[in-house]
Amino acid sequence: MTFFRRTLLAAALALSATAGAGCDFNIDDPNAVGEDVVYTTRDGLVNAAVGLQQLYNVQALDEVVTAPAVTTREIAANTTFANLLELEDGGATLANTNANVGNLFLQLNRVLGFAERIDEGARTTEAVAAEPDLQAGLVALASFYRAVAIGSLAQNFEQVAVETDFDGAAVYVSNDAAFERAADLLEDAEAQLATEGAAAALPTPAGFDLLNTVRAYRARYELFAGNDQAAIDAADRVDAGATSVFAYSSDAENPLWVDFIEGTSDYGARDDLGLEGIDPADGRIAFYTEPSDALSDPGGFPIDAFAGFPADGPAAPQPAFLPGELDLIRAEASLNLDRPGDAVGFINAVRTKTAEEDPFGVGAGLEAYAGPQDDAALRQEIFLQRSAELYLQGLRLVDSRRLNGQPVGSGPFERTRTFYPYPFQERNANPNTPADPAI
Amino acid sequence: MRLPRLLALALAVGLGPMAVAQTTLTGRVLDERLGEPLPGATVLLGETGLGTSTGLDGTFRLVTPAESGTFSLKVSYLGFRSVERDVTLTGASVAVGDVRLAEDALRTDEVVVTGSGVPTERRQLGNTIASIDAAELQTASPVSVDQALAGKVAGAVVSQNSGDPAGGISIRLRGTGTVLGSGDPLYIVDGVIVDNSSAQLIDLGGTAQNRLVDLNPADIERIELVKGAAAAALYGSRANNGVVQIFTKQGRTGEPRVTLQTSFNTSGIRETLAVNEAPFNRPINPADPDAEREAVERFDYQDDIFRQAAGTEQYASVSGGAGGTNYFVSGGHLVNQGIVNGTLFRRLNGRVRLGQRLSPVLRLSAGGAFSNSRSDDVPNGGISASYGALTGFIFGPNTTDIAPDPQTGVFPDIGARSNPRDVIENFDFSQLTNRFTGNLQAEYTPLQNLSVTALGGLDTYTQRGLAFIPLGTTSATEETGRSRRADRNVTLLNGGLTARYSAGFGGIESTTVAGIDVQNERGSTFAVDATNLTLGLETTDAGNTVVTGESRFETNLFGAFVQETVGIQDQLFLTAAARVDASSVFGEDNRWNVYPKVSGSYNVPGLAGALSSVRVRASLGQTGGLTAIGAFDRFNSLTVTPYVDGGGFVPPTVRGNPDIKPERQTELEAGLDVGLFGGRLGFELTGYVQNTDDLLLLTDIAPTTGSDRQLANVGTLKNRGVEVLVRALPVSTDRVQWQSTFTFAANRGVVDLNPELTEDPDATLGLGGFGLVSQLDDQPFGTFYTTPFERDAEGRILGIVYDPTNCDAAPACLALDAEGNPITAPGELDEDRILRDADGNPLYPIKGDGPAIIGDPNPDWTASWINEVEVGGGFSLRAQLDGSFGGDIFNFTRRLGSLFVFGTTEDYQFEIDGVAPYQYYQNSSYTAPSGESTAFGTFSLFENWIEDGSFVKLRELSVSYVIPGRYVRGLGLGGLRATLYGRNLFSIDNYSGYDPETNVAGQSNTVRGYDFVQVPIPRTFGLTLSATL
Repeated sequence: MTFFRRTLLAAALALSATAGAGCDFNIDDPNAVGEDVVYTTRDGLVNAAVGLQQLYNVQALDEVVTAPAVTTREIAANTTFANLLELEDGGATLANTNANVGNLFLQLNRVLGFAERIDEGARTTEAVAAEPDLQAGLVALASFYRAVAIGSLAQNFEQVAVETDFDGAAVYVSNDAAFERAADLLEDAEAQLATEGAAAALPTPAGFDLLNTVRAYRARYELFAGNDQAAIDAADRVDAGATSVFAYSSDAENPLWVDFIEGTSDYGARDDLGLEGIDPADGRIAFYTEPSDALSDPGGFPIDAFAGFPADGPAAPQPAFLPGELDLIRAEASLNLDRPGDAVGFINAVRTKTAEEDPFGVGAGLEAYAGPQDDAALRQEIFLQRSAELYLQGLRLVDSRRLNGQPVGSGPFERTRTFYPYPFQERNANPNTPADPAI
Repeated sequence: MRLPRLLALALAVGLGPMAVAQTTLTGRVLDERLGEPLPGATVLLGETGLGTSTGLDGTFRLVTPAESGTFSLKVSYLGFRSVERDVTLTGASVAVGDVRLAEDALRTDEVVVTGSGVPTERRQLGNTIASIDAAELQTASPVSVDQALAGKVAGAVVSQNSGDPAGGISIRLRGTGTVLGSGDPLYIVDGVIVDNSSAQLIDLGGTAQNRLVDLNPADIERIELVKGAAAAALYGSRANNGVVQIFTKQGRTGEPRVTLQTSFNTSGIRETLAVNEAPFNRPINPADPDAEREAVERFDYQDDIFRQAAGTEQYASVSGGAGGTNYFVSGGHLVNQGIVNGTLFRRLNGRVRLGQRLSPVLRLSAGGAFSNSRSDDVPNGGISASYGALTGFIFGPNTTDIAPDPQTGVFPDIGARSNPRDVIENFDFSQLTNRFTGNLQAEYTPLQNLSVTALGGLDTYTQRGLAFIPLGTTSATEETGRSRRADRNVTLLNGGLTARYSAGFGGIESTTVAGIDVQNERGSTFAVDATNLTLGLETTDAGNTVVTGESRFETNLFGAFVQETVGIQDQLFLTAAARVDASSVFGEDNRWNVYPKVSGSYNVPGLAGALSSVRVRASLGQTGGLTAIGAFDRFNSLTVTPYVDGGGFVPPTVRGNPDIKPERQTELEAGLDVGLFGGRLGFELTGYVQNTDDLLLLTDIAPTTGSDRQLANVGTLKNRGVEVLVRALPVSTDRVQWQSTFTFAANRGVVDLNPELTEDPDATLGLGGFGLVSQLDDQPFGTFYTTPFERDAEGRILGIVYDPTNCDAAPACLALDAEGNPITAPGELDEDRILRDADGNPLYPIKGDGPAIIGDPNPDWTASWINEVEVGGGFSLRAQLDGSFGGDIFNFTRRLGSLFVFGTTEDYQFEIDGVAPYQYYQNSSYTAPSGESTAFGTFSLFENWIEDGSFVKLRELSVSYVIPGRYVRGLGLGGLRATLYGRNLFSIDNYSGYDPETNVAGQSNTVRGYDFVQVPIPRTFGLTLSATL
C-alpha cells in the first residue's frame, strides 16, 4: 500500500509541477528588451540612443539620398528593376507603391517615432533626470534626429506628419511648417547642449560633433523655412573649422558604400554630377566620380563610377554636413535679404576653395564668379554650387524647387518629380493622408 | 494547481475498499473466415474498464474483482466487427469459449481514441476518423512515418518535398489551416506531444528534414488521424491542421515474442533531364548567318551527381508479458544512401515500453525511445543558397569537364555556379540529432464506471547542423570559405489527467469525460557562422570573420475540457464538448479561449437484405491555431543591432501585437457510412465546410505610426471539400482474399485577406518564392502570381508557345514553315514590336498585362487505390496507386536551362539546332519603349514555365511470402516472411522535370509546387526478411 501511495504521491507531485509550469503565462522574451524597460530606464535609453543613430545613419540615410538623387538626375538607374526605372521616369509613371519612395517614407517615420519615444523617456525617467547632463544630451540627440526625419521628409513630400501617431491618425502640416518644426526642434536641442557635459554624456562615436551638427542643420532648415536671418545666425554659430561625421564600422556599414560601391551597383553616377553648365575643371567632379565611358542601361545616360566619401570602404565616415553648405546657406539667405554683394562673396568662398582648404577635401578650385549679378542668375549659380558641393546629400530636390534651377520634365537635366506621392500603405491606413501632388 | 492534489486525495480514498475474491474469464478469439487465432484482439468487460488482449494463440485470461451479476464481454480487433457476449460472474472461473470475429470493411466497431479523449467506437462518432495499422504502414519499409502515410488516408495530402534519404515531408489534412504558420498537423505519440519542426540549421538550398524522421515506423502499432476542427475540439489551440496520433507497439501477455527483420534496398533516379548536346555554343544568328560559332564539347553533369544507392535496415523486437507485467523492447539500425553522391542517412533507434498492473484497479505504463539520426548532406536546391551540386548542373553551362585536374586535384570553374563534383567531394554538410521521448501513464479504475488516467510526456532533442565549404572552392559566393555550426535544443513537456464516468439507465448510456492538459515547450538555437577561413581548419575557429546568433523560446499552454456523450438504444449517439484553453503566446486580453463541439451519429437499426449498416453523422466544432504566432509576438520589444562602438536597441519594423489571439477554425462535417453484403463492401462519404477566422497575416500599418507592419488576426481561410472511402472484399474465401480500398478527396481552399481593412482592392500578400508566389484576396491559397501570356478574347494564347519536347501537339510544330523547314529567320517586328512570320503570325508568345495568377499549386483532387490479394495465407500481393490532379508546378529548373548564358538543357539545344525559333527564350533585340524588359522572350514570361503537376504513381508494390514452418524450423525460427517491395516505381505524368511531387521550398506552408533542382524522389526496390523465433 505504501508503495502505491508513494507512487501516486510522486505522480501527483510531478503532475502539479507540470501544471504549475504550464499555467505561467508571463514568460519574458530573452531575445529582445521590452519597450517598458527601454524607455523607462537609464541604460535602456542610453542603448536606445545608440540604436537611434544606427537607425538613421545606417538604415535611413541611403533612402534619403538615393530616391531624390535619381529624380534629380544626380544618378542614373543602371538595372532593370521596375521600381528604379519608374522612379527615373518620374512624372505620372511614379506609382504610390514605388518601393524606393515607400522606404524613404517608412524609414524616416521610424526614425521620427523612435526619437519621440526616446525624447519622452529621457524627459520622464527619474534615473535620467538624476543626471542632468545625460538627460539634456538624450533630449538633444532625440530632438536632432526628430528634426532630421521631419526635414528630410519635407525635402521630398509636400506635407509632413511632424509627429507619429501610434493609432494611425497622424496629422499632416504644410511643407514650410514642417521645416519650421524641424528648426524649432533644433533650437531646443541647441539649448539642451548649453552645458559642455551634455554632448559628452552621450554614447556617440568619435567624429560626431552633435552641437555643431545641430547648428548646421538648424541653418539648413531655417533657410528652407524662409527664415533667412535665423539661417545666417545659425550658420555663423557653427564653430570655424568644425567637422562632424556619421561613423560606420564593419558591423554597421556605410549604406552609401553598400548602394554605390560594393559589388555591382544598381546606379551609375551621372557624368558631370548630372549638372548642365558645370565647369569641366571643377575639382568636385573628380572628387565625387571616376570617369567612365559607360552609358546607363536602360536609360542611356552617360555615367561615371562613384567615388567620394563612401569609396573608402564599408567603414568610411559620411560627413553629417559639409562646411561648404554653410557658405552657400549664407549666400542664399543674403540674396533673399537683398544683399547680392554678400551673396557673391559667399559663392566665391565655395568656388575658389581648393581641396586642400576643405577638411573633407571637397574643393571646386574655380575662378571667382564672373557671371551676371541679377537675382535669377545668382540663384542659378547658388543652385549649381549647392548641387556640386553637396552632391549626394539628398538635397538637390528641395534645392531645385527653391532655386528653380531645374524644371520638371523628362530631359537629362530636369527633375522628374517635384514632390513624391504618398505611399498607398499610408493612405490605406491613415485617413489624414493628404491628396497626392499633381507631380 | 489545486486539482492534482485533490486527485491524489481521491486516488488514496479510492484505494480503500480492496477486492478480496476474483473471477477468472478465459476464452479464445478466432478469425471467422480462416478459423485461425487472432493474437492481439482486445477483450473488455462491460463498463468495468477491465480488459486484456489475446496472446499468440488467440486465448485470453481476464481476472476481475468478484462482482456478481451479468456483464457484457466485448471482443474487438482492428478490421473486424466486434462481438459482445453476456457473461455471468460467479466468483469462480468462467469459460467463455471461442469468439469468432468477421471482417468489416468499414471498421465501424473499431475503437479509436483520438478526438474523443477515451476509447470510443467509431460508430458512436459524429466525425470521420482515419486509422491505419502496422501492416498497412510497413509493407514497403518506409523510412519515416509520414512517408508511410502517403495515399493511405482520404483527405491527407502527403508530399515528399525532397528525394534526399531523410527528405522532408509535409502533410496537409483538408488543406492548410494557416497562411503564416506551419500547416502540418499536431503529432502525438503515446500521449506525448512530439516536435515535428523543419529547422533549416544549414542552408541546403531550400529543403530541410522534418523531425518525425527520428521515429522508426517499425515501432508503430496504429495511427489515427482527425482532420479538422469538427473532430479536434478537445485539442484546443493546436488543432487547426488536424491531429495525428501514433500508438507504438506494446507487449502482450504470453511467451516472449522475438521478431528479427533485415532489409536491403537499392534506389535510383527515375529519369534524368535531357541535357543540351549541341556541338556549338549558340544558334546561328539569322541576321549574321556566316558568323563563326564556337565549337564546344558538352557533358551531362547528372552522371557525376546521381548514383544507384544502397541501403540496409536491421530491426529486432522482443515483447511479452506475464503476471500483470508486459513489455516491448526494440532496436533498429538504418543506413540509406541517397541517390545524390555523398548523401547518407543513418538512424539508430531504441524503444522500451513497460506495463505493470499494480492492483486490479491501478495500472502503470512507461515508455522511452531514443534515436540518433545522422545525415550527410549535399546542398542542391536553388531557392536559398545557390552553391549546390544540382544548382551547378542547371546553371552550367555544361561545356566544361568537371573532373579535377589530374595533377593538381583542382576542380575547374564551370561558369555561373559551383562545380557539382567540387560540391560533392569538398563541401561537408551534415546534421545530427539525438532525441529522447518518454511517457509515464497511470490508469486508475476505482469504480466499475469510473476511470482516471494521468499522463506525463517528454520529448527532447538536440539537432546539430554543420556546413563547411573550404577555402578556394568553385563556389561563386563562398570563395573565402564558410564554416557554420548551428545547434538547436528543443524540449516539450506535457501532462494531463482524464477522467471518464459512464452510467446507463433504460437504454440510455451516458459517458462523461473531463480532463486537464498542460504543455510546456522551450528551446534555443545557437549558430556560429565563420567566413574568411584560414586554410586547413574545418571548425568555426577557422574563421577570421565570425558571426554568432542565438535565440530562445518558451511557451506554456493550459487546457481543460469536458465532454458528454449520450447513447440512445445503441443507435443514436449525441456528443457535446468544450475545451477552455490558454497559451502564453496569446495577448493577455485574449489569453483564454473556448472551443465547443457538438456531434451526432445515428446508426439505422433493423436493416435487412444487402444493407448491413447505415450510419448518418454530423459534427460541428471549433479549434484554434497558434503555429503562426511566435513565442513573443505579443510584446513590443527592441532588439540589439550593432553600431560602431557596440550595439544599441532598435525597434523592429514589425510591431508587436498585444491583442494577438489564435486563428479560430469552425468546421462542419457531415457524412454517410453504408455497409453492404455483411460488411464486404463499405462506403464512407464525407463533406466539410471549414472556415478559419482571425487568420493571422502580416498587415501593413501606416508608416506614420513609426512601424511598418503588424501580425494581426484579420483574414479568413476557407476550405471546402469532399472525401470518399470505399473498402471492399470482392473475394473472401478460406484460400483467397482480395481487399480493395479506394480513396478520393477534393479540397478547395480560398483566402479572404480582408481587404476592407486596408481599403486596397488589389491587396496582395507576398509569400516568397523569389516574389513569384502571392496570396490574392478571394483566391486559392499561395498562387503563382506574375507575368502571364497575352491572350485573345477567347482566352487563346497569342503567338506560338513552342514546346520542342512535345512536338506531337499542335501548335508546337507551327514553328516549321510551309515546307516543313524550321523557321530560323527572325521575321519582322511590327508596330507593337511583336515578331511575326511572313503570314503575320506571332512567332513568340507575347507578354500580357501582369502580374496575374498564372498557376495554382494546390491539387483539385487526390485519389489512391490499394489492392491486396492474399492466397493461401502465405502469399500476398499488394499494390498502391496514388494520384494527384490539377496542381500546377512552377518549373524554374527548366526555365534556367533554356537561357543562353546557361543553356544546359535540351530546350536550348533545340534553339541551337534551329528547331526552335532564334532567341525564343531570350530575345535581346527587343527593347520595350519604357525599357522595362530587355530580356523579352519566354525566359521572363513566367507563365511559359507553369506545368501541370498531375500524376499517378505506383507508390508501393510488394509481394510477400510466408515460408512454411517446416522449412524454417530447422533454422530455429518460428516463422519467416520474405517481402520484395518497390516504392515510387513509376509515375504517369506530363511533367517535364524530375518529379512533380517535390518542392524546393521544403516544408514551407506557402511556397508549394516550386521546382528548382531539388532532389527527385528515387525509385526504390528492396527485400525484407522478417523472422519470428
